[in-house]
Amino acid sequence: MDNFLFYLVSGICAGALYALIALGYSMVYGIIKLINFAHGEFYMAGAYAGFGVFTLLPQSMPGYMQIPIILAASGIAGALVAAITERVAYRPLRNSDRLTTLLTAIGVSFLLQGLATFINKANPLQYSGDLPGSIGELSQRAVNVGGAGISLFKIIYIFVAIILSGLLWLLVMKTSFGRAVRAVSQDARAAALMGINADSVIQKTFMAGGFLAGVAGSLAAFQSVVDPMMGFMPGLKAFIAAVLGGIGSIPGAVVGGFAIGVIENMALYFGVSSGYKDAAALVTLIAVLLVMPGGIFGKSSREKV
Amino acid sequence: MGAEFESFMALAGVYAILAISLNLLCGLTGVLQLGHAGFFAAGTYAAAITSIYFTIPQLGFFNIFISLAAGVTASAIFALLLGIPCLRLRGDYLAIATLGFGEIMRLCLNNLQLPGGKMFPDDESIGGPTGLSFTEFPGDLWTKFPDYSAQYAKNWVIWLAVFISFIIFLNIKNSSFGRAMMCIREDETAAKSLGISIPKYKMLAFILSAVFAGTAGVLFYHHELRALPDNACLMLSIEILLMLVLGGMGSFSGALMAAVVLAGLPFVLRHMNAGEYRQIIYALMLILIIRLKPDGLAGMKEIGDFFRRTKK
Repeated sequence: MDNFLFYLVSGICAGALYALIALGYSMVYGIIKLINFAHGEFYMAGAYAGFGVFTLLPQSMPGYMQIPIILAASGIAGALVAAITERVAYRPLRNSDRLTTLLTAIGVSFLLQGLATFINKANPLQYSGDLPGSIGELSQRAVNVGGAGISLFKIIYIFVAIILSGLLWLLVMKTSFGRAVRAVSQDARAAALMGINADSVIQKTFMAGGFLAGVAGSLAAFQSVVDPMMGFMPGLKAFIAAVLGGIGSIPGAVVGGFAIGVIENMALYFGVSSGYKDAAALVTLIAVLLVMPGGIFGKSSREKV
Repeated sequence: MGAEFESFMALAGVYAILAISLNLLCGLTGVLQLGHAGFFAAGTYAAAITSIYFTIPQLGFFNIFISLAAGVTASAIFALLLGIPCLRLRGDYLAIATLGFGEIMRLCLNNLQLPGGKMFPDDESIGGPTGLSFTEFPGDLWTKFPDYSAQYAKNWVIWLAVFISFIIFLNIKNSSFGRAMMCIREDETAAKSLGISIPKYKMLAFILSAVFAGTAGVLFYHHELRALPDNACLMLSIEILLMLVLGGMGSFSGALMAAVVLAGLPFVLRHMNAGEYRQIIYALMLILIIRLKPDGLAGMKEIGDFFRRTKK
């Protein structure tokens, strides 16, 4: 049991980010049955916006005060990009068949990635760790878990993920907006007849998902770098997490996110070489679709042929 | 211009085979597949491995058929293994599962290590992120093993293969086999009620399209003499899909034309010093064509339909 605890905790930390992204996938799929391929790009947009705000903040400001500002800015940026994407790309296709919208979503994802390559000529941006007390330096501080150091920041991810997903759950289950979301996801037409503005509800759902993804983007960027492709793999894994948890379900997305994080780090623990780490999540996807396509909290969706 | 035109023609031919093979699956059968590049990469690697380890110098050009057999077998096996679990899934889930396959393929090829063998006596292992290639070959080995580094897939070979596959696919479309596939695309319940076995036809279309993608991979390897993990990247799968959208889902002639156009685009952009806009242009094309002209250039029509007099 040498490093078991270390891998477990790393997995939970990575899973916290997947959970944040997966929530958006799951809500959007629940409401308009669209696999929003561009969701990973909301995460990337949040990371870029967070870095942009960071460069505007005075360097003398301590890192722990900068972090909330950066997270809020990246969340808002993610929500804005999500709202614009929904309005421009997805709303005109509301009544088209699902493959058309899926292809459009892939196109949007590639478009956003392509646009991001113009920022800093696609060179990765990094929070510098030179100044003591700056974000870059804080992110290098580690706590000892199971014989190896885990960054203090990663532990914070877990709390951020749990708090934000709890807030989202309250929003969906306890407010009138949440009731509207649930009504539209059951039957958009009937909800519209009850006086709910379905388009606006859908747009706000996108914004909520984009906000969470944007926050996750900045959280990830503190630890590594900001680059145009950063959203692809986490986005894919978060989608897998949403499927694993049962797409459309909020607790499912959180559980699925943590599960994917743990699965891929357990794969490392059990001797899978780190090059194949990403494959572990993808194999999980195919296995889940095979064994229980509805996921843990979802309904079965197998096609009868 | 000469060398550039030559490499454009080769790329266009390989793209054309990829596009028309994907059209059988996406255009005719209506199964969205985002892992086509995975089968292409299986073909390139099968060709690379056979030509590094099993080239028979006496056979000369005909070594390409050894590679072809290996590439076809490899891609067919992968298609079978992927198709059995995944073809049961609903459209968009299937798309993601095939995307997952493509990415697994890329990751595995990225980590693939092979023994150097007699071709690379100095290297303990070859492969990994740089792929299998002859381009970093030490100079004297070129002269020592001319048969291993010969470019068998000249442009005429590639375009002959394009022609043959085009005829094959056109005949499939006009046969009862193709009509059954189109019936599945339009309405699965109706197809079932007509006695069409949906798993059988979907699986056949899946394997056939994978086999031709593998063939394209073999040709690509024997032209470029290198196989890269990035042959399986998602960008390529999307690019092939864009060819179908541009040419018109269901039209092999449209796919062929669009493949030539999209193969030429990078060269044109490079001359305009606008290479970095490529991804944006592709993405905008995909979004706008779907929105404004969902039928693409040709719709469902084939090249012959424009010359045939319509009987009323």
